[in-house]
Amino acid sequence: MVSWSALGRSFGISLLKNQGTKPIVVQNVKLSTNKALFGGHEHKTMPLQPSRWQYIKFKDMFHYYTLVGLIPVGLIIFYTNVFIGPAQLEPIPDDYNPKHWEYHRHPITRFIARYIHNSPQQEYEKFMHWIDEEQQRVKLRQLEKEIQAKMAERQDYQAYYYRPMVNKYLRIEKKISEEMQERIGDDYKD
Amino acid sequence: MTAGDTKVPGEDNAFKAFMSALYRTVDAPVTWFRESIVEPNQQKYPWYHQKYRRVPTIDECYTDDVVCDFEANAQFKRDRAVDSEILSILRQRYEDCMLYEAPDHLTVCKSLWDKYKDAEEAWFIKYGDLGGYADARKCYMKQKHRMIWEKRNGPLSNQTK
Repeated sequence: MVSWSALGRSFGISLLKNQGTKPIVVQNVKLSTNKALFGGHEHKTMPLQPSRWQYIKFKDMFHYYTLVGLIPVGLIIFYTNVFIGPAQLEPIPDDYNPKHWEYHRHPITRFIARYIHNSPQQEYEKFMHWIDEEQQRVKLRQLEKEIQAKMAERQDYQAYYYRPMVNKYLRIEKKISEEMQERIGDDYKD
Repeated sequence: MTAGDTKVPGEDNAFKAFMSALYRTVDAPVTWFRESIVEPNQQKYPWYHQKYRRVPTIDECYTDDVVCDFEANAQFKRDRAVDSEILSILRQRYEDCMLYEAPDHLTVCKSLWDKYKDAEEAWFIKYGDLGGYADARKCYMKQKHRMIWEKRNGPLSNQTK
């Protein structure tokens, strides 16, 4: 806030006189662009009126949902129903295999089935492949369980406790340990 | 009808003429719009009812074959839907006859009623009381139990003879 010292007062007065635009009053609120320069000079008022927030929000939402939602979607639906129209039911010709979207009647449903969704046959076969793979895993786990049960019962096979080894890293480690022993030596007292 | 009779059956008295004129105030613009603007511009192209191939039923599947089980189940659900629709059509036929012929529908529509009742019994023998999680396997087991019962106690109904 600018405070009026005695030195700057004359400067402030000339500022006030040069830029004294009348503040605009809109719905009881004083709006002006240069209020900050003056600082506490005019009598500030807060308008005491009921909130207009709900009304403004309603207008926003109404405009949004009609202009972006209702009108474009309505136009698309009108166009497809009037100028394209639903299909006619016919028996399947003998030598023809219909595509999966040709089993729907309305053009928008056909569009969605053709360009957005996967074909039902594809989904069916994908699911069957997945459950077949899961079934193979189930069988493997069952077999493993049976084998372990038999080994536990008979106690005659140690294959379960065998960990497969790769000797390459053992050889490298052996070489390293020999090299280190040569350098450091061992703590062997005779 | 005599030659001087020019009245349409729906408008042969003033009240009926008034009611049909009232109907036409709403119907005429809509019909005009459809016949002059909509129908000439619509394209003609076909759609079809899908025909599914028959796959092995649940009694032809191995017990650990999930793929065969899934396909048999899908076929069972389709067949049950088709049978339900057939039953619905038979019921609609009887109901239309009943509405038209009432109050002497009990004698006039009897053949339709008997056909519907037989179909309903057959539907229930096959699909009834299987519960919400009905399966092809459960339906097969139901058939097995019914056959065992029939072996011990004779035929269950006329539909299973």
